[in-house]
Amino acid sequence: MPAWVVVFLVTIGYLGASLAIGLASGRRATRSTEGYVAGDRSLGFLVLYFIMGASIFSAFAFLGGPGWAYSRGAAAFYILAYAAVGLVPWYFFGPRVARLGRRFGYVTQAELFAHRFQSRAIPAILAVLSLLAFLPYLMLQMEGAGYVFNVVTEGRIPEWAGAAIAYGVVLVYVFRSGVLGVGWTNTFQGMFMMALAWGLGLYLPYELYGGVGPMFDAIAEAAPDMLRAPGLGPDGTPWTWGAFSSAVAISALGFSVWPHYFMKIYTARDISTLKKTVIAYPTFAIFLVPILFIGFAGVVAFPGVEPADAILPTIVTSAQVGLPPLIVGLFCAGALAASMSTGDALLHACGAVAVKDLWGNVRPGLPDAAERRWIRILVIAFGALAYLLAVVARISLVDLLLLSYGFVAQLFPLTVVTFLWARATRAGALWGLLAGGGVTVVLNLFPELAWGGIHPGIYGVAANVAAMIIVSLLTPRMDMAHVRQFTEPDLGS
Amino acid sequence: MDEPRPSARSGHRAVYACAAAFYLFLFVAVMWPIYPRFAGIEPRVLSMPFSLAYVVAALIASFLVLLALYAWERRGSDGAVPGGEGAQRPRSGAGSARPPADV
Repeated sequence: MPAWVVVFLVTIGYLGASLAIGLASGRRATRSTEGYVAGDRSLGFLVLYFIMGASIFSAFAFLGGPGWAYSRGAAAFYILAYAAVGLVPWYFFGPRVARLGRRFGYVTQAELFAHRFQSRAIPAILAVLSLLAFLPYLMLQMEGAGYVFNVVTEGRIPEWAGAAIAYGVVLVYVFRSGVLGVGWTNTFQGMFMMALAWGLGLYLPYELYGGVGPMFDAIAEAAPDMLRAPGLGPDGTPWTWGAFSSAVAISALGFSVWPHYFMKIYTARDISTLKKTVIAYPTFAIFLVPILFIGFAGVVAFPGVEPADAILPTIVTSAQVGLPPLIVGLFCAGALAASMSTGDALLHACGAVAVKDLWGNVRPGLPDAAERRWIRILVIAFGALAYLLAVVARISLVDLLLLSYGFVAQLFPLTVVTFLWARATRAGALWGLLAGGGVTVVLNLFPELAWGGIHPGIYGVAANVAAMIIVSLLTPRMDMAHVRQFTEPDLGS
Repeated sequence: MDEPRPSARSGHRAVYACAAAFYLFLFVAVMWPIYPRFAGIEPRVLSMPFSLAYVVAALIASFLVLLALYAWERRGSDGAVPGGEGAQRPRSGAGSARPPADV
């Protein structure tokens, strides 16, 4: 049997297993919006751990991480750096969010802000920004899935068909099972990814250099600047500390408030489960270390691979390494798992945010059954839209992604003042968001205005905080009895 | 549930303030101006260049400090995590949280 057929069959087997797990897991949820979006607030530690881990480590981590290590060296360490602190805010504000969610029935992030600031405009703005941020991210996952299929079949299945196969499976289990389908498939996919990352990450340096130490010795001799932080910039010259530090800062600020992660706080069975998930999260994040080893393994042994993101499939399928087709197939399934485990959470969040936060504020009062039905319909609609934009229109994602990270970071100050600053008012929150978003857009359009190569989102956060404080102090206080439910939640419960 | 004594409450706050200060420090420690002091190749740690070992150590420290905080919380509340009730049944729908029309 030709090698590509074995690889293809392993990949199809993985997709079949994901579909079966996704469909079976949805049977336990109630047929309500809360069941579909928040899993009836019943998820335990294992599933929540893998949802957070596998959702965050996307096609970018699995393909882009080795690509960064290969082409930019220590610059890739920024991913590990922000992972060290990114989810920690959940330990402190997550329990309050979860308690308020149970008390008031929230299932999305914007419902919390809408209630705290007594505003319909804020959730509607957040919904639009969230959907704008989700789409390029989702398109990137689809492109990654199509690319993997194309590689494993040696070009016999085009990228558009590969993306359609992988995301056809995702749509079926997200439509049928909601967040429980996302959770249990992520558990399967997360275990798969971790096993592959550690296996390949330790095997490849050993096979190509005789071990991790000899691999870094060879790189230190051939290209020492790659191992010294902050590594190299996209043009191959040394990266600036301003750019490295702002990449860490903007990613860390945005990490805990991405709307599709944030709403998973509501799915936790109890506060203890939530805290244990945050504590254990670095044990998942550390799997990026062997992922980076894979990229470093290519620096001396496989020079000149273009684009750099192709280094992982290039090494795995090379005759020099000589991996059996079964292992290559498992690697391809792992890369698909990385794409799908992020894409499914995004698709699920698209439907929920569009119905609960956007439509729910334009036309409130939709019955629960209709809400659930529309969320499921919009999951399909957003999947189709992202697919068309990703595969048919083939628009560039890089600028959109930069913009979306800048936008998402604007939610961090809002989250902090929701719980810690009783004086924050509706107008302050609104103007903060508008100022932060506006500055981010302007500096993305005119990057020469951003001093020191610092990420535009950092300037946006500064403008956001300044506007929020000034406008809040200039506007009347909100009803303190209402605000104390958020700033001192135990008094209100 | 009994209200904690004022001295116990201030002790709790001090522990949380220390934890928050540690994470603020950790956040800064993986960026300029601290990380550049540890950004070289030598000494190697577990075969890794020091620049990589440093961020891996930050990740491990993050894990250990939260684990210690959690253990302290559990010990202080005789096995129940503060605020860890988690068993309240949710109200269905978000009707009670529906904001009025505005702006």
